[in-house]
Amino acid sequence: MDEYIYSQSVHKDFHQVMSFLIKFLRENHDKEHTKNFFSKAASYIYKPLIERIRKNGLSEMEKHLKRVFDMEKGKYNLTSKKDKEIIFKVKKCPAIRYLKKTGSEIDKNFCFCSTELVNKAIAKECGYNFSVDYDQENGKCVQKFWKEDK
Amino acid sequence: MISANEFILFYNEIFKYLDKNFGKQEVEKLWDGIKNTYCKKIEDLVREKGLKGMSEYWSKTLKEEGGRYHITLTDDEFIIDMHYCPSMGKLLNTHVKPYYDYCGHCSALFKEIIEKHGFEFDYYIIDRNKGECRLHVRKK
Repeated sequence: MDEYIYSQSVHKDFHQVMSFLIKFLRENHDKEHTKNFFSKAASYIYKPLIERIRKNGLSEMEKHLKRVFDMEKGKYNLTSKKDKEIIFKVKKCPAIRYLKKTGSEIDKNFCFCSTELVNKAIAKECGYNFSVDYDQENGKCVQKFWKEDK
Repeated sequence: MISANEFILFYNEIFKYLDKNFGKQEVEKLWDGIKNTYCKKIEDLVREKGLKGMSEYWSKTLKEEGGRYHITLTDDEFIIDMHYCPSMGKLLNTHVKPYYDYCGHCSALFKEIIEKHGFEFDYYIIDRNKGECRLHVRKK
């Protein structure tokens, strides 16, 4: 992610519109378009982050996750093993929490698109694996980035 | 999670994706959907408080979003002189290329809502590449 984005003030209503974008794709276009859009957009948008991970390893993903979740006051626990693995346990997702607090609709594909597709694309671009188990209803998930032993 | 700060970058990319694959009318369909779903808050304020409601709405959202702007509110006018749009600023300060009609979303979301409550709505893009524009609302 470009440095500028981390430094900006947070307008949480954008989570509502993100949920709508996901719903719009799901209702108007087939699943391949949803997958295509989020995967390609992530590879392009996160290019600076992808380059940093390629150069310095998973510690850059660790920094990124901490910065965005701290910006929005999320609750999480992160453990890492050098450059081999990150396990990121989200205890309170700030996006889900805000959407629930404001009584907003949360599209059923919200976590699939904004976490699974996006992080899978970033990991793939850098030669890592990514998996996530999420409980969208409760705003919890366990994300894992890892590299296979050669 | 795509953070609220990263949202604008995806918002911009979906315009490009829809335009490329389905044409500009699909982008306009998306804007229409956003207007009908998420612009209720401003519509209620415009209906109940008129120009003051517009000022209340944008004073809050622009304060949260950042940017540089000046709001003018008189008895018969509401004006936003946007010197540096926070939304376009997120595109101009990253490697992401803005959609050619990125600024079009603003008019698409607000013009109809404001005009149907007895106002004239004019939106002037001064310089997209500098995030400069002017939104001018007058009582009819």
